[in-house]
Amino acid sequence: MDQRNLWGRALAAGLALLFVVVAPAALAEKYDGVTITFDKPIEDVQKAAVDALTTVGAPPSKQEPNFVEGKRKNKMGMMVGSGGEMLSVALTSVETGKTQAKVRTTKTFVGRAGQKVWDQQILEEMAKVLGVSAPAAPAAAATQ
Amino acid sequence: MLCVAGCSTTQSGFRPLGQTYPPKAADFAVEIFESGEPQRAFERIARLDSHFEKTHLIHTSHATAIAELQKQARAAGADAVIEVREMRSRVGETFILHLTGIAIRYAGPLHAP
Repeated sequence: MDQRNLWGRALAAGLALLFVVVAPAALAEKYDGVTITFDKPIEDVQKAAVDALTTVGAPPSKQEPNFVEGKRKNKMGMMVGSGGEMLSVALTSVETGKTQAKVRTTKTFVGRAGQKVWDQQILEEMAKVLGVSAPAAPAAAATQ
Repeated sequence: MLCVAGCSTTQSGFRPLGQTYPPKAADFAVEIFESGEPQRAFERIARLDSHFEKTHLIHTSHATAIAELQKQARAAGADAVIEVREMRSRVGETFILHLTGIAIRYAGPLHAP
């Protein structure tokens, strides 16, 4: 009987571990960032992306004409720290004077519990810098 | 000691908007216009950013952030800062303060280099 209990508990623990490991990964696969089109040329949108990443504490470490990326610094807390997210904005000229911006937050392993998705804040700041109205919160920003 | 290094971050800098200028002296008094603009002619020369994050529920004061913005303005060679915008947010026990502004340089004969 004790032997059966032991196996039962081991099986339950194994299933719980599987859920903890697989569930976030499954959600992450569904998340693919947020894409918005601005009525501005790519040069202007790239500068706005640089400013936006700086505003959320991820000054760009990579700046290319069609891609900007930065990482928020990790900070230790009493219980849960913060930071560590990789933030990126990929740009594509869709037609004359219009640019598609794909904003993506990638959570990293260290300090994952204190990390959040910054896509909406980045898009709002880009809109402010570009002088256009802020885009509505897309549903995709809520998951990862 | 470990906490001082790992519980807070300050990231500041400026991005020139066009022509670049030599930095001002460390004791140069940069004017701050939190609302409105100076009456005299000026040129926008840089975007300034000061970003503070502190864990353990510790706030950063507005005055601290303004002082950092002035430091960046001096580095950009500015006389004053306009369009100051403050953004506060929180992630768990981390308080975030970001100040942004536009560094300007006065135009005309009254400008002191």
